[in-house]
Amino acid sequence: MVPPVSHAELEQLAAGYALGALEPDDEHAFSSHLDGCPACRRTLRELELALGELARSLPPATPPRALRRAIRRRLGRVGGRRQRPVLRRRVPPAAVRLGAALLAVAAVFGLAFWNMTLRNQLAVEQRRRSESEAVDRLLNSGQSQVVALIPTTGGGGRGTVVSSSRSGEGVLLLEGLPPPPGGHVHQLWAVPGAAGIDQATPVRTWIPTPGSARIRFRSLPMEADSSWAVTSEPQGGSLRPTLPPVLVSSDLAADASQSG
Amino acid sequence: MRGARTYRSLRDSQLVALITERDAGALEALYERHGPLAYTLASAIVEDDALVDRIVQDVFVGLWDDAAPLGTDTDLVGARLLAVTRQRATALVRRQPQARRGSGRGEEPAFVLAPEPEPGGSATPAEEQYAAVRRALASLPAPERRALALAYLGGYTQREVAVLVEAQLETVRAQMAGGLRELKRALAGVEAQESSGWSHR
Repeated sequence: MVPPVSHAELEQLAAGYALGALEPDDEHAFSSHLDGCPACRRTLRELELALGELARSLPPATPPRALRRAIRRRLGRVGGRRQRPVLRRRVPPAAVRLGAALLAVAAVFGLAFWNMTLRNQLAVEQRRRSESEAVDRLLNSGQSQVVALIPTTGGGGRGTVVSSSRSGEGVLLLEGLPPPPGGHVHQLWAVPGAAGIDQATPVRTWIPTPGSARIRFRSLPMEADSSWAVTSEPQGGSLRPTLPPVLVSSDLAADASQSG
Repeated sequence: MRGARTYRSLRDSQLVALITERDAGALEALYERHGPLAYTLASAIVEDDALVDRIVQDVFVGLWDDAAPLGTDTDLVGARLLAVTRQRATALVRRQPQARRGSGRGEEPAFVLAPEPEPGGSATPAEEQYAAVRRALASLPAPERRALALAYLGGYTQREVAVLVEAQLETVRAQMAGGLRELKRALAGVEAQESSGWSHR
């Protein structure tokens, strides 16, 4: 696409962008332009606000009460608890009160810990389910690309990137990737089509876990023919790959073996 | 978790920040504030109530996992939540065209506007704003309104709209931009619009 220059062209692109109606190449171009143009960001903000109000002009539909319960259920939350009525009792002796207070404190800490553990388990389970739904959603969107990642020389493990070039949303599925050296994390990179790994842009880092893993990510909208690579990087990640990749998509494999 | 009243006093961006910290009460408060409108919007796109239900559920449960699409600009949170809802609903009707509202009757996506409130009552500022949006939509030239509806409710891209309405892509782009310009004008008020305008340099 010719880079937009005129006022009218930018206004049209901003409108299409706010509506989500641009073609992928225009969307990508305008998205890049936005980064460096406060005037277009302001205009886009106004358009987003106007589109938000547009929904209010539609005939109102009332959500069923069960919808809120369904959301709550899916979050794994238990419904509101009713408080027990407080009963008046005879005041017990001081020693008994102190013992009871200590027991109550211990119970509260115990319950809090138990609650925390449950919440953590719940969070893990919710994340796992949501990641699985994200993969399904991407695969069913009709706009996803699936790219296999293979280990470079001497490495192990496998990966698959399922991503939408349009939204930039994606999931990296990993199997048996050996852990990185001490003090390092793994980092996913996106490589624009036809570029080398030195042109890679960082997507996200994660702390590796043994076995299989699902890593969700959100990058800038990508070209549909983007390649992917995984490297080990110092904690916090890097702006450019500093070590040879451990996994690459097949079109980068030759490049990686040369650089490694 | 805080009391419901505490959540109600928080701004949208504060609720979003709490949601990223896995505060379920904040998500419920956000649902209370924006869920009905998200449901209205999804209903305008998708015919089947069960699917509409599912979309709105997915939107809010999705935020639990990733609230980043809502951003941190408190004024935009509601609009972005609706944008996410619209994205999900239009993605669904693109995959399953028979789920599109009106498809069984052979209708294309079009704005059906809520009726004007009965005259005589005192309208709140918000109601006046909705009335302004309705009037702006109703006053748009039919091709502009159609192009907007096909993108907004149909999820069609500008190129697809051009094919559907048998017009040049440039025409459709101009129609969509013109339609949104009118809406912005209606919301901001004519005077404010004339003094601000596009200031790109």
